[in-house]
Amino acid sequence: MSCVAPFPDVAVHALDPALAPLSREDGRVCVAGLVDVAGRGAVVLPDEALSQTLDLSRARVGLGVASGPAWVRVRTSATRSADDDSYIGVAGEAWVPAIDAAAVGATFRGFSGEVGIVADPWVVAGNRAWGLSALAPTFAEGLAWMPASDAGLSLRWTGLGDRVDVVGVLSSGEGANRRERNEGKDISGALSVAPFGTPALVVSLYGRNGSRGLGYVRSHRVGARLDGEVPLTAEGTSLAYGAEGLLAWGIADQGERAPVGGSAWVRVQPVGPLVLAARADTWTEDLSDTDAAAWRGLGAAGVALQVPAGTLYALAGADHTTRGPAVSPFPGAPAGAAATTVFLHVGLALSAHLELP
Amino acid sequence: MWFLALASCAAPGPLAARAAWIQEQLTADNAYWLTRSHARVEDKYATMAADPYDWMRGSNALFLADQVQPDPERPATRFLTVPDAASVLTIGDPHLENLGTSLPGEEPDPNDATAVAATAPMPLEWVDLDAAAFGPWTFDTRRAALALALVADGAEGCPECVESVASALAYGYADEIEARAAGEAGWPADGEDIGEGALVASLRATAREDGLVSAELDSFTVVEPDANGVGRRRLALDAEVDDQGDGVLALTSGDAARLERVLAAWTEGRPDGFRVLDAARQYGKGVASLPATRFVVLWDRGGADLDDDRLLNIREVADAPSVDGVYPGLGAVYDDNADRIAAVTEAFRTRPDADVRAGAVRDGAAAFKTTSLSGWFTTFDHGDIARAVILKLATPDDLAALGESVGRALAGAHARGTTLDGAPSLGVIADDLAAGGGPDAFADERVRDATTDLATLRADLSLFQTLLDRSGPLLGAEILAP
Repeated sequence: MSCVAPFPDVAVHALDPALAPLSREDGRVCVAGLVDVAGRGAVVLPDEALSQTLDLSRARVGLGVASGPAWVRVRTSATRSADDDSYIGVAGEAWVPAIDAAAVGATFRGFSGEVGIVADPWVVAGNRAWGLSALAPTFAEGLAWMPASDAGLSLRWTGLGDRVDVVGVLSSGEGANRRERNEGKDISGALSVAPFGTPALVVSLYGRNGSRGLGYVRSHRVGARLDGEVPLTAEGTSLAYGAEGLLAWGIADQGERAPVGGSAWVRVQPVGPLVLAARADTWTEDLSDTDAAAWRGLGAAGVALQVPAGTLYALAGADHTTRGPAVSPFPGAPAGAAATTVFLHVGLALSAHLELP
Repeated sequence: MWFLALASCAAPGPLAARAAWIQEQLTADNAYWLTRSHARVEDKYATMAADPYDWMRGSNALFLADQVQPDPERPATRFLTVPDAASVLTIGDPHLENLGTSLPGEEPDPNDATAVAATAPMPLEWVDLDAAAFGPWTFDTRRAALALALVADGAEGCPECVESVASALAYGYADEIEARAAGEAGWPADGEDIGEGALVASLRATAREDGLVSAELDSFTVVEPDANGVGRRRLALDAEVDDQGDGVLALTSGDAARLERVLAAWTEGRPDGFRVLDAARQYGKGVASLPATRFVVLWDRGGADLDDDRLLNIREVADAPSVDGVYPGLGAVYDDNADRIAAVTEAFRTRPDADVRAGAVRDGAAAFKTTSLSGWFTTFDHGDIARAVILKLATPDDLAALGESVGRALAGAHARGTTLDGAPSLGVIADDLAAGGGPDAFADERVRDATTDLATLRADLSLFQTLLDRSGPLLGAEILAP
């Protein structure tokens, strides 16, 4: 038995490596590492503020160690120590590492559990299916409707030949970057079914009952997703697709808001290292009011080269967002209502492991 | 407590949802101060709860966040259609207490003060620029209109004063922008035009009077004989802060070390021969910045007598309110808050010597600003204005004249600023004003928003007071204790 790859998503198409549970049933120790860095240059139109930017999209470092059925893992992601409109940070507004995953867990006969900073099953699965989270996280995470991880514990069961995956999470509800602010705890559940026992088709359902902040603002979610990845040829070409919808009750500390959103995407490697990706998101504060809707379209093309232990990729494309008058920053004004970003995004995601006797 | 999670399933009522929103916005806005001193934040909240105007002063972040939240019910604006109109340099919090007189140049020797008082120009300046940032020019006008409307709302027997003062501000602002864009000199901030009304005239008169008799110096200090029987001035200290959290206290060792660092780094505005005679920490001053570290320094130039004794105010400056979507790209323009304050002070003041003690100093990650502390530098006081109206010392026309003066002062400041891209703001605002329908449309919008903002403000204050009763003096943020 080899050391199980701790970050199984590092592949030609999946440029979004994630920490996965480790376990060793042969008494050996497995040490696994992850490095995932991406940068980008972009031009934002119209030129309302800063139009030309060079930035770090992602800098993640992860480490996992498994010993027998038990394992620990820690991942840090770079974050600015001060927001764009703040000067009170670390050494100016320096990049600093923030822990976004840190858990101890164990796996036993299809069951696994972990406690610490644990992943939100909806966000992580969505990013894995979309596969380009360093370029743009799924719409729910990107709009801050969902944190990617939170303090809490999770229990998972995977069975029926990997056809069914069930996850339950108990968490603080504040997200990994905020301390607990109330006595209420979020209870989340996710069910994924792969009817054919392959990644070609996965149907997922998600629900969360939660609260956020000092004011116990409700923070409930219900979502559904259909995604899959199918090989096109024996040479490794493939097609990934997906569509999801999410209903929220309570958002951004506002309990009255109940927006609805959805996203659909396709990512294809038609020949050689060529990668094409497209995504469309839409969300609205009021289904009966077209002025309350927003949509986003993203298209990218580039190459993804397999290198030992990972993927080197470069993508160029455009990302456009339009917001209706009721949901733009300044109602009735074009400022901030629409923006197009033309970008060049370059990244390298590596994952490796070391098996100890 | 698990029932709380289940209880949160239900849709909240509008008041409960609004209360939670207020609670979160204020806690986030005060997060920096909460890491420092819970007592000072409690004092700030108590001050805000006691007076509608102080509630307005302490809730600017909430005001700004409300403007940009997705809400199908928000009325649309006719402005911000011209590129860069949403990213001009703004005052950030242009309420009445942030506008006051200044005395250009050095303060006169007390023996010369009478002559100076009779002739010195005393321009109106925006004196607190802590919230200055790049954003929509309309936000400043809306904020200023709300401040004026709140004062006017207390004018007994003048139900139309809210509308008239907001309208006067808008027309004053628009006229000033149009005049300056046409190449005219614009409203002289030190003009002392009789048309500015009794309230503005009274402010200038008060400043002259207080400056003449060194009222501020006398209020902060006492004169005692030294060992040789020579009178020496020192700061009058309180033993502790009073029930309202106010007081001037002796420096702790930590305060003294910090002040020493700040003074050592202070260059812009530092006079020749500067000598510290005494220093203390002031508590309870201001509203939004009440928790900030504030020093009062008694200084002179080394003279043997008391005539060159002066006061210096040194106050910590934090970030401008952080609201997504309002102030894009601020961090790309200035190095830090000290750089920001120095730059915006230079940009907004009507003349370079408006306050010769104005400066900015960095102390590690913190920033401090220096200003003169003197009767010559007197800001409007909403309480004084309200009393003047109630006592019939000022008429509704005086209120409207005040509104016009505030509008012109705001327009003048905007006209001297730039956009985020470095272009002059004046042309951008003038074009945007015209594109949106001109002065009449602008006045209509200001009156409309002032009326609704005033109602929202009063309702929010009531919710805030209830929150304090229900959640405690920190709105429940005690659990975030570092």
